[in-house]
Amino acid sequence: MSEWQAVIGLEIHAQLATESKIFSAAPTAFGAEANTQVNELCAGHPGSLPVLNRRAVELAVRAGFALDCDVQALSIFDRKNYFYPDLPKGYQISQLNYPICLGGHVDYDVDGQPQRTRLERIHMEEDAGKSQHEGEDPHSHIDLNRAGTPLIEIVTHPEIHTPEAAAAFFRAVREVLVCVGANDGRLAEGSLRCDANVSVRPAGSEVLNTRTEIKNLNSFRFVRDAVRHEIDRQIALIESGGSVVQQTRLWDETRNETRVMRTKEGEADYRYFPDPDLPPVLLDAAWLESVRASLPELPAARRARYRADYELSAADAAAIVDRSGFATVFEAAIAAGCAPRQAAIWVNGELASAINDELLAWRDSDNVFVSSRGVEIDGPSLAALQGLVDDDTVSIGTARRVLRRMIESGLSAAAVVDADGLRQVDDSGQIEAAVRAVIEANPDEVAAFRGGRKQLIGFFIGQVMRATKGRAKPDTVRRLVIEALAGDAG
Amino acid sequence: MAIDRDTIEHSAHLARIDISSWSDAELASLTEKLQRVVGYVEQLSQIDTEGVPPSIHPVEIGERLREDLAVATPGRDAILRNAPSHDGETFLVPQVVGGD
Repeated sequence: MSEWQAVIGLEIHAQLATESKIFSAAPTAFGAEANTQVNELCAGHPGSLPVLNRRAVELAVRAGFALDCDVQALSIFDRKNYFYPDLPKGYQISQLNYPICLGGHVDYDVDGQPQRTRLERIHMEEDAGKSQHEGEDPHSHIDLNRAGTPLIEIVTHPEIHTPEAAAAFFRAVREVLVCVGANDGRLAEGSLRCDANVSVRPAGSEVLNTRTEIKNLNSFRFVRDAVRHEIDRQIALIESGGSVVQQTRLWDETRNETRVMRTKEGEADYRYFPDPDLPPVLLDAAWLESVRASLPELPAARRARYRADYELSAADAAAIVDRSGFATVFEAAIAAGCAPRQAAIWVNGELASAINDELLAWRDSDNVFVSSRGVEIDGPSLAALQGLVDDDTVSIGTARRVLRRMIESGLSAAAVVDADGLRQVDDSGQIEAAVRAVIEANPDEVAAFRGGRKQLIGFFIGQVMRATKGRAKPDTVRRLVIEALAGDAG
Repeated sequence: MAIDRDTIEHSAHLARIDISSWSDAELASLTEKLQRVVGYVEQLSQIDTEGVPPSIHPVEIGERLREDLAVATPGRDAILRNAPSHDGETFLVPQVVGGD
C-alpha cells in the first residue's frame, strides 16, 4: 500500500449576529415558527428591494480583522443564479469577484503542535430557506425563516492535511468569531457550519485530485469523523482500481458514513453578475480603523500574554481564557492587588468548583458570578479573600471554606471570618495549652513517637488543629508540637 | 460568440424552459435570432477601451446602509396567501431532492 496525503479545504458559513436580516428588517431570532420571520423581500416578491444591514457589514469587518484578513474598502454583491424552492428569487445574493475580505490566516494547535492555515477570502451572502421532505409526502415543505439571514463564508486554501487539523481549525475560527461578537457560536442551531472539500494524492505529490464536498457539518466531531471517513473511502476506492467522482456528499452521523447527495456533472453554471439593486459597498478608511481598534484581545493572544506576563502554565491559561467570565474575574482580582498565581489558583480551583456545584453562574451583563440568591462574586472579592491569607488572618484551608460561606451568606470575606470566628490563632500561649492537652491525652502515641515512629508528628498536629477548630496557625502548631515532644523527653 | 444548438439547449435548461417538443426548424430559427441579438451587443467590443478603467458596477454611488432594527413581518398568513400551495405553515412544492 502506498502512502497517501489528504488535501482538505474548508468553507465555514457563519451567521452574523444581527437582529435583522442582511437586506431587510425581518427578524433573525432562532426557533421561531415556520414562515413567521418572512417579509416580502425574503419571499422574493416582485418590486421588493434589498437594503444592506450596517451591523452585518460591521460584523463581517470585525471577523475579517480578527482573522488577519485584508479588509476591502470596496466590495460588490453579485447574483448567483440557480433554481431551488428554498430560494424564491431564483438567485442568491453573494460576493464573487470583490469579496469583503481577502487573505488572512488562522493559527491553532493540533496535539500541541502550532499550525497555520491561510484563508483565501471571506465574502458576505444571504442564507437560503429550508426545505423538508418526509417519507411518503408528495410535497416538500418550505420554511423561509432563514432566507436572507446574514452569513459570512470563510474559505481556506486547500492546505489542511488531517481530520484532526480540520476540526481544530474549525474550533479556532469559532473561538475568534465568538470573541469579536460576529457569531453566537451555537453550532447546534446551525449558526456555524462547515463544508469540507476533500481529495487525496500520493504523499509528496503536488497535484490536486478530484475532490468531494461534504456539506453542513455542524460540530467539531462531525468535521473530524466525516473527513476521516471520506479520506479512507477515497483511498480504498483508488486502491481498488476506482476513481473519485466529483460529488456533494452528506455526513450521516448515525451510520458513521458519508453518502452521495448529488453528483456534479461539469461545473454548475451560476451566471454570476453584479446585483444592480445593490450599489458597491464603499467603506471609509477611518471607519475601518475604528472597527479594528474596537476589537477585544483575541483568546490566543490572551493565553500567550497570561503565560508570558503571569507565568501561568498553558493549561492554567487555557482554563481561564476558555471559560466565560474567568478572564474578567482573574484580571479584576489582579487589578485589586491579588498575586496572579494566587488569582489563577482561586478561579481555576475554588471558583470552578463552586460553578461545577452550580452555586455560581456567570452574568455577562454585570461582569460578575452570581449565586441563585443573587450573591455576587467578582475579582475584588477574591482578592480580598486572598488578602486575608496573605496577612495571616486565615490559613489557605480556612479561606476555601470562607469562599463557600461568602456565596451562602453574601457577606464579605472579612465579615465571614469575624462572624464565624475563623480568625487564625497565632497566640503561642493558647496553642501551647492545646499542645500540652493533646500530649497528655495521648501517652501511647507519645511513647511510640519517642520510640522512633516520627511520622506520628502528623497525628499530633492534626489533633491540635482539631482542638483549635482549624484556626491555629499551622507553622506555629508544628513548631510547638516538635518542641513539646522533644522538651518533655529531656 | 457563436450560438449553436448546445447553447440553446443549455440556456433553456438553465431557464427551465421545456424545448423538447420544438421542431428542428423552430430551433434553427431561434438559434439564428439569438445569434443576431448577441451580435448586436457584440458591437460594443469594437470600442477601443485601452486605458479606460474597468467599470465594475453599473451604479457608481456607494451603498446606503440600513440600521440593524428588526420590524414585525406581515405575518405568516399574509405571506402564505400569495402561494399557489401551502398547508397553513409552510409553502408546498413538488417533492425535491438534490437539484443543481
